[in-house]
Amino acid sequence: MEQTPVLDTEAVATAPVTDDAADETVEEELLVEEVSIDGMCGVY
Amino acid sequence: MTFDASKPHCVHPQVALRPEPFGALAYHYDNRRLTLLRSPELVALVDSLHAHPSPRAAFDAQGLDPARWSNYEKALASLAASSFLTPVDADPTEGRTPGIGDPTDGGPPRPSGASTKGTTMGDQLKSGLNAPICLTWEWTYACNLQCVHCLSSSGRRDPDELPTAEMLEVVDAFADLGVFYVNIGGGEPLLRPDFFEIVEYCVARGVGVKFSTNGGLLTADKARRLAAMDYVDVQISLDGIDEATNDAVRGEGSHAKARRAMDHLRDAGFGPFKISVVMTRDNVEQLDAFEALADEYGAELRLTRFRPSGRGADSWHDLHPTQEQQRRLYHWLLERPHVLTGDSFFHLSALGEALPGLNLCGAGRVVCLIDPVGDVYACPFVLHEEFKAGSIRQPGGFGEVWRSSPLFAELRGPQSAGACASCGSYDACQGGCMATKFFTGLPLDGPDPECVKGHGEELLAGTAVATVPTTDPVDHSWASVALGRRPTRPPPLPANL
Repeated sequence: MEQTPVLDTEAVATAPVTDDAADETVEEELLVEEVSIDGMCGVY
Repeated sequence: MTFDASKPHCVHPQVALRPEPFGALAYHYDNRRLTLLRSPELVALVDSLHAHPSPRAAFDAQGLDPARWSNYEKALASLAASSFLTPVDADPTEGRTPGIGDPTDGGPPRPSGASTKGTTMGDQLKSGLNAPICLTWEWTYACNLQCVHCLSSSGRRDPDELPTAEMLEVVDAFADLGVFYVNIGGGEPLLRPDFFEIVEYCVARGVGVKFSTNGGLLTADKARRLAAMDYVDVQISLDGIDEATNDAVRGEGSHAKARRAMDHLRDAGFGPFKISVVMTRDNVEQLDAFEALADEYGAELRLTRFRPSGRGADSWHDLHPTQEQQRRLYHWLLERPHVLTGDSFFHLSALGEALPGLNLCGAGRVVCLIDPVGDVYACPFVLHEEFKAGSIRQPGGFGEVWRSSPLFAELRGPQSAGACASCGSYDACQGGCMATKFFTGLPLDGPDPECVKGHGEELLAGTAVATVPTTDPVDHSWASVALGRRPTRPPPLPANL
């Protein structure tokens, strides 16, 4: 594709954090990912 | 600016949020960035920020688990760093101004609330979206040039092309779906007498416009009119830094016309337009010169891959870059992440470090094409019956095609690596470009003909001309354009690496 987007991807992966009481690791989450779609268009 | 979760924030007024099954897509009309919000809770949080004195107050109001507040704070900080969120100096309860194209009042289905943990962005995009990320809309088959690589075999206007009223209805459908912007191509879009009427309607309905032109009809007056419009990008096609190289592909006089159009845009104060180059065997060595030209105009350089689509089927074998040139291009791009490629060269990622991008085929998943008569295809490079998903003239229009096309459903399903499964680079290149394989007669579940490992060349050498699929049903070339390798399509060859 010109498809497939993008181009710059910037993943914001949050690091595991700990619970104060039980020192329990909170599941890692990938909440935001950025992509640059400028230039995607599929035309010459 | 450092993100302060104790200060009021809201969504930037030029940001549109579109609900998706995994959360939402957010598009910023100023900086052209697209962000995936990969959690329905995050979407609800972002959407509510304007109503709270601080993000932390919003965490509390949303009932978010305090153990996860730091995760959300990092996510919001990232959004703020990309200007998707902005501090509120005045009363935050006044709320944000919906951005252009903001479909959050109605529009696409809201997130289901299903967990997306453990899935990649690529996985989520492969399974489809509520609307395309990138929709190419060809406005006419008429063209004042006859480029040898034209992917839509344009030249003559089709008598069944959409009239103005239907074009405006399509724009309404885009607005209802929350399409952020459309890429206008052709043919030459400026040949439509209603060009500005439709562009202005797009902008009025909150649909951004990027249009591609050969520049031949882009007068000083038109450049000034475009420069005065918001949410309109212009892309000038140039396939050689000099007349000899460019005009061999795009026709005599086309280089001078393109340069004159660039002059007009510069003189009109348009800003950073794009110079768009299709990479061929004859211009790969001009990469540095193209970059210098873009710098001279304050423009952005966009490179795209040459596909054997349309008339390109006739010229691809002679003009597509060599393996050595592909390697040179790959390393040149790695050093210049600011050069736009639209993810066009993801097949090159098998050479090592991945090029910036999603590195997947987006056909029917995140992109599609609408041709001048309203037919919808999986991607801009597959104007062929086999990849036609429907028509905007069907009941339900474009939205129904995007949601319910059996072809799109198939493309969004699991894909087999096929013959590429035994190659260690499949995860990097994903088997390459579907259109490029199809129009060279190679099986879709095998290697790309330009596979950097050489597997495609081996297969291609054994492909008879008779296996190359025809594109004649959508050919609008002038009668004088030679059409050579266009026989009928038989079943694809089996592929074994």
